Amino acid sequence: MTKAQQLATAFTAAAVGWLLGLAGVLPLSETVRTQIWPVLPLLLVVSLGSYAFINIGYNLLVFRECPEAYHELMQEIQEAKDDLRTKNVDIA
Amino acid sequence: MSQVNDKAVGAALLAIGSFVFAYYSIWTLVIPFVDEDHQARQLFPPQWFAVAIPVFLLAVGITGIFGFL
Repeated sequence: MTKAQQLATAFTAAAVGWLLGLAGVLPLSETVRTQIWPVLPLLLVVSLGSYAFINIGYNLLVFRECPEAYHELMQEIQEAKDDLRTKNVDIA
Repeated sequence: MSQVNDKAVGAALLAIGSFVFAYYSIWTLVIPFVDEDHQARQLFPPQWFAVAIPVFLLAVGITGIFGFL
């Protein structure tokens, strides 16, 4: 079973469970059934969106810049340019 | 290339994401159980908006995306 099939199965199961709750089959209190249960898919979408924000934001925050690697790379670029210039290939 | 610091953008995204998640979760899961005259209710708009705002944003977003396809 591929990841897509797993995801589709889980999603379908959740959808059926949610529809059953809406139809009144599940033992839910009146407040939950009318106020909270119908909003659950929206809560899911909002949660996914904020999870994406938090994930990207956190990784941007802790991303470590590597000055040593940067300088080493610039030096290698310079060496490559000089080397090519001796072979009559002109790169700015 | 703007001079906006990457870390500042990251911190802003993190703050917005956390706030939206916490606020919306409390709005939809906790407030329905709170009495009408509790002062906590004044921090949140009526429940109708808890559905209207995300649905509206989704409609605008999906229309925008499909408008460019």
